[in-house]
Amino acid sequence: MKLNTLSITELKNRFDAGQATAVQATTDTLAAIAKATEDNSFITIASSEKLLKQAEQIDAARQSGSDDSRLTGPLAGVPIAIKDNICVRGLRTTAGSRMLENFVSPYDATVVERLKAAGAILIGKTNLDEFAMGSFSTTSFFGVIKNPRVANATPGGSSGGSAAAVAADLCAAALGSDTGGSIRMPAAQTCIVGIKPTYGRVSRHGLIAFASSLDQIGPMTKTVEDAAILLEVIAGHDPHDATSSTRPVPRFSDAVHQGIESGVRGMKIGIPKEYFEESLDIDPVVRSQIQKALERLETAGATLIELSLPHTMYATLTYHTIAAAEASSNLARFDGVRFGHRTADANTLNDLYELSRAEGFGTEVKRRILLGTLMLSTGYYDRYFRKAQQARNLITHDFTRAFQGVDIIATPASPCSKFVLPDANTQSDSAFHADRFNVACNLAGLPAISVPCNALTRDPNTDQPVGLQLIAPAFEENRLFQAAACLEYLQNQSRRMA
Amino acid sequence: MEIRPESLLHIARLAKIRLTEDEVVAFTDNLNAALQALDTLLQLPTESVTPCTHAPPLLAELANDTQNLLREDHVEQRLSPEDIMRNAPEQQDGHFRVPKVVED
Amino acid sequence: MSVYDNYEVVIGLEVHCQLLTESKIFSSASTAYGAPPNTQVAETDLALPGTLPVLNRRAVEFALRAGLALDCTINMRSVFARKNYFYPDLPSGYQLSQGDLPICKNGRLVIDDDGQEITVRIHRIHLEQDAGKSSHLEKQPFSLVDLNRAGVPLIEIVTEPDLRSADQAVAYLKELHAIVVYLGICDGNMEEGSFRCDANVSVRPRGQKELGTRTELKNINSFKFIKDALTYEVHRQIDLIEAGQKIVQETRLYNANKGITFSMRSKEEATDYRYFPDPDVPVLVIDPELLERVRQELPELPAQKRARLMAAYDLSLHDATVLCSDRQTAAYFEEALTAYPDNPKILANWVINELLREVKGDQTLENIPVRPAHLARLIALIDDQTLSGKLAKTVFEDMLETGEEPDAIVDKRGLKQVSDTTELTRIIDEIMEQNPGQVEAYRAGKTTLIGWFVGQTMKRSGGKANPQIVNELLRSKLDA
Repeated sequence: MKLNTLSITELKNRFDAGQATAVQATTDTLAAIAKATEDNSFITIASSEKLLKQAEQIDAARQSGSDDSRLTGPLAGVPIAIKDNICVRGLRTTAGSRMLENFVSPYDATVVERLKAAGAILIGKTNLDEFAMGSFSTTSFFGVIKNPRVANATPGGSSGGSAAAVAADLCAAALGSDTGGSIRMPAAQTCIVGIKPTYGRVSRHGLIAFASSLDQIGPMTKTVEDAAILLEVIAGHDPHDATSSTRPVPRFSDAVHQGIESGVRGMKIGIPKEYFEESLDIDPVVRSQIQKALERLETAGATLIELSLPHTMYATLTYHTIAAAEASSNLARFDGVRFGHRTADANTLNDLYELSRAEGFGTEVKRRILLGTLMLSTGYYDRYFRKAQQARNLITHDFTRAFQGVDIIATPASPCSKFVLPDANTQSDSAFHADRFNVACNLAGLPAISVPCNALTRDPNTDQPVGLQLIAPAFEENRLFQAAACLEYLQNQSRRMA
Repeated sequence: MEIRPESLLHIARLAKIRLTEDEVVAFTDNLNAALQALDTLLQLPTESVTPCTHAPPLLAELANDTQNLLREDHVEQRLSPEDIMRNAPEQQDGHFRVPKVVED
Repeated sequence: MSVYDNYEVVIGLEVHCQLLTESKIFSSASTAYGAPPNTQVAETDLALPGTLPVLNRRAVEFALRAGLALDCTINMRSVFARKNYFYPDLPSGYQLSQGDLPICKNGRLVIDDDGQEITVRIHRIHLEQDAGKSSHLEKQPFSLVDLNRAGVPLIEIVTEPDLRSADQAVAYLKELHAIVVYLGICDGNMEEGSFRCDANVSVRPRGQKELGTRTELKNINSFKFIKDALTYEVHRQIDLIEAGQKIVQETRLYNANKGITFSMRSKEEATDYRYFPDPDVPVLVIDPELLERVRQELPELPAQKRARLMAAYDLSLHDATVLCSDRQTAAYFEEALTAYPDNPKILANWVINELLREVKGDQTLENIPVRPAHLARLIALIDDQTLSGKLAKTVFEDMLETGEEPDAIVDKRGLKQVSDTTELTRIIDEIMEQNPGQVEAYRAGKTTLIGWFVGQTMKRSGGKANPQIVNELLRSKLDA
């Protein structure tokens, strides 16, 4: 048994039972990464020497009963991959861009500090769409990412590298970031679990900003319980992020156990009709698998209630307007002065700016900066940007009203089952629709999880991954963990029966 | 609303991105497509709807928490001088160096 | 009557005050002035990818102090906006400032324009961050960027166009300067740029309603330069109009050496700053309890203090103004007054004429060896005739050097005034005995000789004789 194939929980159980060591887990993971270069999941692998040294210390501490959390914490010895738009001190942090090709972060993101404090082995930085702008993992300066679960397809994006790394067992779990579905959508495409927490649940300090009012870091894992464990570690108020909430962090793993032990009895699950309409271009596999998942939850005690989120049709346009506007400003700091790519051809200050940015940014990033600049400029701000801000309130209000009658809401995580290359190109049109089921949660700041809802045969030629998206009111991630754990448990049961 | 290549160039200058001629054409088309799509949004009646300026959960939190979002006035220099300059593409005497800022 | 008198001057001022916080407005880096370049820089000040601004509580309190002192309405919810533009001293590519919803609005400040009270309306006060500094190398095609100042907290105080002359503008600025210094929110150092002024200036023929085209004068850093620059600019505008030309709306700078203003000749196309609310900085909600506490802790302001000193101690406007020009002087005066409340006018004279003259260079009222209680004691010694005015000055000089108490110095140097009549009678008798000619001449009617006798007596007493008693004794003896 290679240890890299295990989930966090399984790995920890073996550590505790003395059946495995952190050194073995690290060695197996590094070996797997070395073999799986074809997927292009990683941009940077941490120094194996340093990782093994850390693993040795962890193993030694386990023997001697140290009380240093860095050596004995909840993730001690667990190999975790980090999306490369999250800063790790001393490692290159590129955001998938030529702009930051050689940028070495002088500080740790808060989530990274917390992972380190919990003893995690930070195995490397995963590939992503440039500055997390993309839905197909095709815009990275470091190349297209491949989906290890589906032949000739991408894992979706933008956290495609993290999704592919988890799916291909190149780590026990990973962190992604989600601005408009970038965790949930690739999680669905690779048949793993991905959760976007409530806006403010996890610190954004150290996450290279795409759209500040939408971005959120979250776990991408092999199991629902792993997502709960990982979120418990990274969540909670951070004095370096004024938008992070001061609310206490509940024990999410308790909700997982509740979902497994007592199911979802009494839980009301809203089914928004706007996400299932016939006119939507939804893959039939997706429809049938989502249907089956919902039926399973019903048998576990949930009530399905159809409802309406009337402003759904405006979500994508609203999202793209706001995200582009914020991005155009957030990416102004990449000017070739203090860090990042600097043109070799600048004679004037204006050349320095215009050429460094022209050379450093890829097409999709330029497109969004230009769109965002336009949206904020005189005349357009009042006509489009303010309109989008107003629409955002209406979309948020849809959810507020819906949650008066239901506990959670269920939708497909993605309308498609796979993004087959080379169709999965950078065309903004398809990107526009790929994340249509995800963006509303970011606009409203709500937590949402993608949980696999069909069993894979592990044959990349025939497998068709589908993810169920569950959405909860702000700061009610517990409900997501309970329902997702219940569904995962039922699916595992039926697989075992079969 | 439709923009012309000249307007796109103005936007690109604001965004400080030098564009090739091909890019000007492509982005003009692309942004016009985006604007056209946005016509749908313009149809949405929003009279008397407050614009949402921050993430909604944050706005909701503000109602019951005004204290923790401010920091105390304490000095802490976390970055070393080497950390501050380590990614600088060009530096001189501890400064970041740029082509001369034109001033008459 | 000059042609200039046919025009009315309209001035509005924008003052930037650097706030006296320890750390920057959105980061924990120090705000201390004069450190080596790029050493007081936090992740956010460098605009490193992934870093976020977190607002300094004290900066908010300082802005509230200014708002309350200037009679403003406080916005209980205010919003930070990004002003987007590229410049090397602006690391994030946007300045964090406040747009539509500033922390304070609609205030007022009453100033004294040559005896006439004028109310200047305050349009708004908002919080924002300062930029870094670019310095331009001679003979090299480079500029160098230092970010130590980037992110230092500022408040910008904007008036309505209510000022009608350069003198009024200066009077407003001086009063505002005194207030922010009193409030302890700004050190007021204009040379180091802690208190900076931009002025919007226009002229219109008297009687005309519409405002003329205005120009903006940027970054003027002394009261004198402000007066000179405004006077020059007003005359320039009137000359242009009289010559049938148009005023161009533009930003102008002041050249203090030549005494002229000149156009910045900005080539760039009209900038579009694309202001929008910063999603990283939550809406600033003012806690009513905090506001109340700031209100309670508001110190007495210069105008109030002046009025109180004049009423309570019968001081002149001039004396009150000098004593209230800064908080330290006023505090010194009042502390001395507490120690010896009997003679405020003499005390005021001594503070203004003797003490303040010594406050220069490194010598401040805080570290000057003459402590308020000591000066008070010196005045008391004058009042009870222990010291003559002249001796008091000698003692004062000694106090400046040694920091000793006046009584100790009087004892040490034996400077006590001799008021003992027995001793003085003995001296006078001696003088009269030795100078019968002078006595005779006096008695014959040359009474001006009294001065000579006084001088002799003072001399023989070693300057310590009480002149008043000497006079009385001499007259009674000579006139007898």
